Amino acid sequence: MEIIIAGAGKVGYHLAKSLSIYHNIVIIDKNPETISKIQDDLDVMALNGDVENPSVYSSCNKNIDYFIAVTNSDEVNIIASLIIDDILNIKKKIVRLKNNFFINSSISQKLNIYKSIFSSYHIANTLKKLLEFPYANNIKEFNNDRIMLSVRVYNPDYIGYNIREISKEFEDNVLIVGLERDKKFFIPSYSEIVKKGDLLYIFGDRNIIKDRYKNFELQNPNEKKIKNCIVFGADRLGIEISKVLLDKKFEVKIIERDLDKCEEATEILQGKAIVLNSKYGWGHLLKEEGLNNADILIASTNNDEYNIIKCIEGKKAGINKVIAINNDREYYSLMHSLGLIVIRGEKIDTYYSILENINADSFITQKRYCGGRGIALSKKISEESKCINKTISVPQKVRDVAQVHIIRDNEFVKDVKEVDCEEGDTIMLFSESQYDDFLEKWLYQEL
Amino acid sequence: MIRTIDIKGIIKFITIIGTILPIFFLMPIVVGIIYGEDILKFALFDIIFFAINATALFILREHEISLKVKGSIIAVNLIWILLGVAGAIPFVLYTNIDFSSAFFESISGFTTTGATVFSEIESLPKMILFLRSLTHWLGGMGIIVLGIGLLSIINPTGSLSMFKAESTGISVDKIAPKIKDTALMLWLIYSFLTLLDMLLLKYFGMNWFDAINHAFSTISTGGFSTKNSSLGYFTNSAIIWTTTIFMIISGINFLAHLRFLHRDYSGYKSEEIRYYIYIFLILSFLLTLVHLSSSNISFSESLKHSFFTIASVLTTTGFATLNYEEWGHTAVMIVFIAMLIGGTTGSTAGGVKVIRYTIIFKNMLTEVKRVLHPNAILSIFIDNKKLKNSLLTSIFGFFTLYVLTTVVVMLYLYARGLDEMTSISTALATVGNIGPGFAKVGPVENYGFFSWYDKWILSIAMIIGRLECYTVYLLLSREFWKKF
Repeated sequence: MEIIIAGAGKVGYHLAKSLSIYHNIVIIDKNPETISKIQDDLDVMALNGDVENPSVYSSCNKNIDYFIAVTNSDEVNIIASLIIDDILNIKKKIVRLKNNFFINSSISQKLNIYKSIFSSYHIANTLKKLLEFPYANNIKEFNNDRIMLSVRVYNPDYIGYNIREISKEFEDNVLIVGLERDKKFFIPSYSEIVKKGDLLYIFGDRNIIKDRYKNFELQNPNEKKIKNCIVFGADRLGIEISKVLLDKKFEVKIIERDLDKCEEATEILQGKAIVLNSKYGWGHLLKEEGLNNADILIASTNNDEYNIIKCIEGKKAGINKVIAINNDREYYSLMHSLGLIVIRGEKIDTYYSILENINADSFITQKRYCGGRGIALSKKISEESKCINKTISVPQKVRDVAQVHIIRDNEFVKDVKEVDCEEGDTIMLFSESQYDDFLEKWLYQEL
Repeated sequence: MIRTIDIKGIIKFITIIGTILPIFFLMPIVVGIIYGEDILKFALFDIIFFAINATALFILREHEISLKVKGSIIAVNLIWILLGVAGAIPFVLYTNIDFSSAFFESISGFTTTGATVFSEIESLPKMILFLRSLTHWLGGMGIIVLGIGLLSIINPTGSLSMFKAESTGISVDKIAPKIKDTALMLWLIYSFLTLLDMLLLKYFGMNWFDAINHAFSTISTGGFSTKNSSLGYFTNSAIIWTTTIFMIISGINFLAHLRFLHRDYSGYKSEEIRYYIYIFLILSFLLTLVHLSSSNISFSESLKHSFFTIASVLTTTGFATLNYEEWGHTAVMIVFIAMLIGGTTGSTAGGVKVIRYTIIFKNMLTEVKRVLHPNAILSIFIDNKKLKNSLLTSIFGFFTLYVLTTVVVMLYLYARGLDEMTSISTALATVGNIGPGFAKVGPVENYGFFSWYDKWILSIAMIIGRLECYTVYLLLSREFWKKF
């Protein structure tokens, strides 16, 4: 496919890097240093110029499959996606927008935008869903109302049974696609015996999982109902998160260093949440405001190091559930290894949302779980797929490292050795993430 | 411990080139068959060479190449040695020269230098003559560029650094988002120009064999001819003018030609190409005047030979029609200037290249301005774009290395007992990939008289020049081999 990316910030760069493996990418940015760095690193066409300037696009192919606007400014993104229609023949436009006003506005339709990405809103929603499953360790959304949820096994009723018996609990309507024991992650076989404290990754229909997953945790002594929340950071994301928490009728206290941001947050939230200024540290606030009685702490600043420190401090202060927003991928595994619940920050979320939108059409969707140690690959079989109505055998090499399942008519066909491809099937692979290239290549070439 | 260099990847890449090369070598074998020559040894060599590489490639078929900077640099250097050896073997098999001479001839071919060790060319088997031209043609665009095109089909990532390590010029400009598309398009235009040149030469009276060989040498700016007296053998002016024009075209950035095919003329309007044309015209006219004054020849004849000579030397081709040394010291001086300059970035020509002189010259002017306006913020502009300081440093670095290499080779030759003119011009002609120089290596002479160890030194000098210094010298730095 031919893809143009306007804006070579973190999101644009990583998108270009991932997409350039199989697609032709043109990336445009007005910063010459960024462009020359990309020219050195990636096999893409990197152009220096203003994305609002029509002449920048003169050397591009005239027929473009995707135009992705991910500059830092909503206005620039909108204008670029507006003028691009006049210059090139664009099939689909994806635009990153920060101002949540646009969510319910008709601007996206007017501009013929295929998909607008509102990352702060999306992240807040992820958090909302996580709160729907208070006993879950983490949760990931998939298409068609499927989720992947991780839960620790504390209920003695399940300990000592194998995976096959445990999945019977869900009437075989879910998959157990990962297991973390003693900080080690692996893809369990059916005969794997579950031990106390194991973290199970369960994939399947939201409602089925919602009904029964709690059974695993029943005996966890630490769990209690969430009521009091602390949110660190009163940026756009912090405010969005606070809104979600307030919707759930929780008590919310926001802590922010910057006084102006504090005032802004108070105004936006209309005083429903208490905004505390922590210019002189938050140690004294802990006692004064009773922050150590909080049930959940969410560190949502743009600074990962700060988020990590605040989460650790929160844990020390006795807060049961701490959630860190992850802005920089380099900190992802560190956060995970510290036992924090990690939610993608705005940039990473935008990146994944766009990738999933592009891939969802006919290509491979990739989702990572368990701190990036597990990977879920899925490919939808369309009428254009080369394997359609053929039977493809799954090589032993693939089955050795991955679980291979088919979702057909919303039912799982588990652990297949051959894939008889029908239109509408989704092939799903679960594996450890070091095999991602190998598995993706197999999916790409065979199916 | 994790290896920092993907050794299997290097071997795999070399075997890819090693598998392509014998396929191209079928061409001289076919020529041999046409002319009824004894092709058995060549064919046998070709088959064995192919078999070894194909087997190695087969063994490594599962290996994913992920060459980073270091790996690419090693691979490129090794490929040049492989090319030298592979090209040398047929010379050893079919002529009476030793391996050092054959290696020299082969490297001279692949680096498009065009310096030959043969004094009697016309008596060589036709397939050997064809092989010499073929080495030019493959080396011109960079067989590695071709390799990258093929590689990225097998393996979509990891070929970028290779392209940078091999291609001559300052920046890798792209015409398409994917490097493989650019590489394949470059080969397409390269082949097209060759075909066009060949047809024109044939039309103006060459036979097919000479037309193909000279087209190969011209477009790759190589310089091997099939005649003892080079292009001087052909009396038809149209042939000389055609070759002159095609040499000049080949000295221009091939991306500009590619853009031209897409009806975009902006490529030709760059400063570098403008200066290149100016330099060519000025030097040619000057040489015409010198030529006119030193011999009683008609103006049109003088124009023809002078333009031809400057085109040949400026683009580092190295064809000759007349012996310009007979035109006096001023003529030698003019040709000498052309030797120092070279072609443009992204072309098949070697040398220092016009853009570097442009930048160095502009820098000089800026420095003068800086003295006059101590508080001014001054920058250098090329094609209305501000030049990055890092680029300036790298150009000076290159220039220093280039000059040093030339001086070292020159001093070596002088110490070996050659006269000044021969030493200087041999060093320039090998490092700049030009071919003929002055005095003992003049346009009507050859490199046969050098001893075997001189030939090895000169072969290395040619590779250094072809890879624009850094790629070779990096291997000598300790930093390169450090694991940390």
